[in-house]
Amino acid sequence: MLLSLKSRLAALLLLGALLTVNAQATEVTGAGSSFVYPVLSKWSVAFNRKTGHQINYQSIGSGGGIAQIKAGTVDFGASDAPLSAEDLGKFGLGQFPVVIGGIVPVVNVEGVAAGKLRLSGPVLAEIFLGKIKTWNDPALARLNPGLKLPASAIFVVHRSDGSGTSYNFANYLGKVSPTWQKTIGFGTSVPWPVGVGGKGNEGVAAYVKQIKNSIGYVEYAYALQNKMAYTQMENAAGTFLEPSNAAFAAAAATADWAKAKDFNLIMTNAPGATAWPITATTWAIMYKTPKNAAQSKVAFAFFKWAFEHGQPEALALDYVPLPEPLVKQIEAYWQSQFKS
Amino acid sequence: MSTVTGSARALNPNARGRGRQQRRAMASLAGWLLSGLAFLLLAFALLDILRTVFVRGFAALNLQLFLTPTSGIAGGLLNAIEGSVLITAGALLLAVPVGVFGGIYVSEFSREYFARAVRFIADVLVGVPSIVFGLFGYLTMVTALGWHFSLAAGCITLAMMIAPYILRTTELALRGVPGELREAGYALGASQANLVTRVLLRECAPRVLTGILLAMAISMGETAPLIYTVNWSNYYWSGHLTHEPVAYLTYVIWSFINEPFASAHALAYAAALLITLFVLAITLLARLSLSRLGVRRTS
Repeated sequence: MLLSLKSRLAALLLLGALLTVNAQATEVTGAGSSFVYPVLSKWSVAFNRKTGHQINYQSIGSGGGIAQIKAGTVDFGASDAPLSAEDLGKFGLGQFPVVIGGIVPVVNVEGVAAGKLRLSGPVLAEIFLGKIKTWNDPALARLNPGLKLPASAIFVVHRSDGSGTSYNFANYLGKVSPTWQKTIGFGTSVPWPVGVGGKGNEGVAAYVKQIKNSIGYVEYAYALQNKMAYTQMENAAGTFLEPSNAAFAAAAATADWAKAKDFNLIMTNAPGATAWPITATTWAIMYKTPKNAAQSKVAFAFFKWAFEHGQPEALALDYVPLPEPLVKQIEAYWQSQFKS
Repeated sequence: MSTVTGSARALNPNARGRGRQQRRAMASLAGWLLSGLAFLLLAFALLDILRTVFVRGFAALNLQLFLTPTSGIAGGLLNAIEGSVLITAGALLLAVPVGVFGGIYVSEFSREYFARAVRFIADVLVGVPSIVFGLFGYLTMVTALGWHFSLAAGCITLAMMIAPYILRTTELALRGVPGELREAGYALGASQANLVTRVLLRECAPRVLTGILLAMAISMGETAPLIYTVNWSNYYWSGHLTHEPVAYLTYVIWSFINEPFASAHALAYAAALLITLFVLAITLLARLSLSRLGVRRTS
């Protein structure tokens, strides 16, 4: 047990030599949004199998991703909230969407199965503002004539931590409710007027599952994997629809990306008959003049591979890959803005 | 206690005295009940945590865990196990010499005021929250020195955390050696260096070893300093000390439990089980070494 310093050092060097893999492989590091962690890891494993390059990604939240890319400690950051044009200009950064997902309201009400409850944007905003207090409120009954809703109070669950999910959800509520826009606004962390906060999507999902007559909002993957009762929403075109990959893809297709500088476009309340109203994307943020050219090149190769060949992995994990026209726009953006 | 009052009650015919004894017996019973309840509350909390970790962790254990790396949200834990071992080994490599030699110096060679200063600083450092060490490591090594997220930054940060602990345990172990032994050594003509290595260290080696093993247990279970300095990797270590992140088991516990997928949760519980078992094994080993090695020396 009392190994001398020399033999310990020798053992460590030997261990290191045994574990050294192909020295030609480049390692790229990224950090940021926890929303994209599952799909980025799946893609990076497949990319590694194909090319031998390693993409390492740590999910520390969108804020962490932005901070790390600004500090230059990672090669790319990922954020659910886009950076403003002046922020991008100040640090010499560019951003582009990576993958699309949907945010769905989930409820725990006796007798309400998944996809049965209908909500509209203004009604959802009133619930989260605390104006609609009980499940048998006339506004809810009007939307759900065939459903028997109890007379209990609505228990609202929101996020306690700063998050891109909250950002997009609050953005949507601001678009459909002038009261929300005036009093609350949107951001990664907003002053929720009612309800309790759960930490992370997992926390909100856990609360909603445990507490009767509660409502919350989570990413679609969490609602599916935890078999929760998501609701139907009325979109901007007036159609009631259930969340699905097709609905998210429709929202992405109808959003006008060409007009958005640096792809700074929040896709909530997208026009389109079959578009889901609370669709979100995550942006990858990289330096226009890379701090490390070799790693930047591999990072771009990774994203290009993911856009062109990564669709099956994304769909298997309940994400929506970017539509073809958007991918073309992104690749043109790379050519024009990034030096590599 | 109750037997004393019982026999006293039997002997004392005085009615007022009997009342007092009854009250004392009641108070004693209430005290025991409350203590028992408090103990059960704590024990229940601990046992519930252990039960969850063991039940769900064992359900998630399979051979794949030890053969494949994590591939995002599923797979195995081999890269995390390898990374945890590397980080702990590196931290110990740096902290043990500093701690042990520092403890020897403070106990044997230094002046009293210097020894008191070092003891104070070591106690303060032991009490600093680990996340502060992580932030310090991030600011100095990851950004200022430009190492980015790397094994070296993680090892040095953890070494800074556990070195004061090892220093204090070594110093306390040496101070526990009776003065007569030192006098006998000097009387037989030993130099100070000889005395320390041949006599004192041999005498308290089990206690020093216990300190080192407990420091290893501490460093294995750390998350916050590593999040700041090591990032995360889904692959095995490829030999670079800087500019390359590694995996570690505690990250799996912290991060994978927040994923929506059941496979990720299974990995998190399995990692929690592995860490718990490892720390348990080290603590038992430390206890055993303390009793066995100590006894064997004198017999």
